[in-house]
Amino acid sequence: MADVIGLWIQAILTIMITTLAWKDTPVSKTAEHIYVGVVTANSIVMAWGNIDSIGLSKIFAGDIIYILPVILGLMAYFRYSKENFWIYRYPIALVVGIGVGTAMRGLVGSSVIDQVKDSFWSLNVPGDIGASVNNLIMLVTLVSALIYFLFTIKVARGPIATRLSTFGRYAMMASFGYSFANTIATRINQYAGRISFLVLEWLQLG
Amino acid sequence: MGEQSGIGNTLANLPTWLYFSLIIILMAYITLNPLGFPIPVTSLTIDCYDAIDALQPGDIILMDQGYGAGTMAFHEPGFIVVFRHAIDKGAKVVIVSTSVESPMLLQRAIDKIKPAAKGYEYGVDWVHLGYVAGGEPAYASIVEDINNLFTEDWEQTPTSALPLMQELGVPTHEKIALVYIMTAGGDVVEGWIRQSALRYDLKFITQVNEMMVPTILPYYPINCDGILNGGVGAAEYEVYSGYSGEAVKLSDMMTMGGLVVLVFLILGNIGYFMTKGGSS
Repeated sequence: MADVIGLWIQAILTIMITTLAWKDTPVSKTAEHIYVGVVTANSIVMAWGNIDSIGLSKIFAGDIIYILPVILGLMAYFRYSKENFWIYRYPIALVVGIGVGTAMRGLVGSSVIDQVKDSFWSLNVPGDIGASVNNLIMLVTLVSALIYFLFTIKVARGPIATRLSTFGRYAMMASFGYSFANTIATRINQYAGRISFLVLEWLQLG
Repeated sequence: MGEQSGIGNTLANLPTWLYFSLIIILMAYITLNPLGFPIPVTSLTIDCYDAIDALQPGDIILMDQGYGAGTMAFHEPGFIVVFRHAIDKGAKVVIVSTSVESPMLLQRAIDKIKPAAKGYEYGVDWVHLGYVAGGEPAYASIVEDINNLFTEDWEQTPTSALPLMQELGVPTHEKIALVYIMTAGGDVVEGWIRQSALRYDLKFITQVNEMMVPTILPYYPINCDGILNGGVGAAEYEVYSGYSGEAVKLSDMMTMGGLVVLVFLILGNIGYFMTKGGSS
């Protein structure tokens, strides 16, 4: 019985949110608000689970040091105090500092050094003309896109550099087109799952 | 000219409801009458398959089941097919979630995978640790000492009582053979790459939304050994591996939806050139 009720709730909410395709209506808004409410409630429960398992349970088990993150967490609530707003800055500063510090450890390696290393591809791949052409396209687009971003160097304003820069712009536009097409594909896939649910699971037509 | 711009105006301003209705009707029709569009398998997917296929019995995969309800349609089939393949290779699976919605969606997938039917015992061959907040510092903690971060699994069983968790000692990364990240957030993949693939040279594959693939492609293959391109990637994996699943069934709908968008893009552009674009 619970499964049937769940199925109907899913179907009704899917149809309600689909009315957004026609226009923004109270029906679609209601479904939207229900979703946001459920996700928020779930997030609170999940967050409490983390506070409990990572903080409180360890404190009660005698690991007193874990009281520090709990205090820092409580300090974050001073965000809502006009007089003591400054207290809120300390836990946020720590969170940002730890986050940036952790990310920095690998940021240069993954986003700069490895990217540069991986851009040195052979222009002559024996027995694979397609790979050679691909690597040549990769080299030309890489150089031209980089030239596009050279704003202050004189050489970047010469006739060859200007053409390369224009080509770089087109290459980037092609890349944005690829991203846009992928975005459409993602949205379609998301809705394909819902249609499949409505037709096969709810209406049981298949 | 007036008639031309009349048609142009119509084409350039086709109502949204028409576009959505056509997509919905065609998708519903194809759900019942699949057309069997071909699914070419890309090297991105083959590399993911090879990473799983190279696992030895007893190897441990760390999975971040980081998808939510919105992206479940295509992430779940990918998760299922990879999990099935991992079971057949005898690999052990440790599942964590970095998205708040994910843990409650896992049971749906497990009901379809049925690990117990293949002799996979919970706690020994696979575990589900649930959600952890904290972003990248949390990923770093997971690969350093997972037992310090998770003292209980999703069902609140102490991790000290789970043999698989005891197998994952300190440092945890030394026991992990492969990291597999499913997510709808680009920064999640980049964070995991930094903390696992780059820092400890762990083998790394990911399944992301199609829209995120251009963001992750620069990391392939130097930091990321394979990418499952959303639902398309999941369908390719199903075709390549021979495991039947939901992604192949959805792929016809995805193709038809894409074709409708393409037709409307062409019509909209014709309308544009017949009116504003044409006159300028």
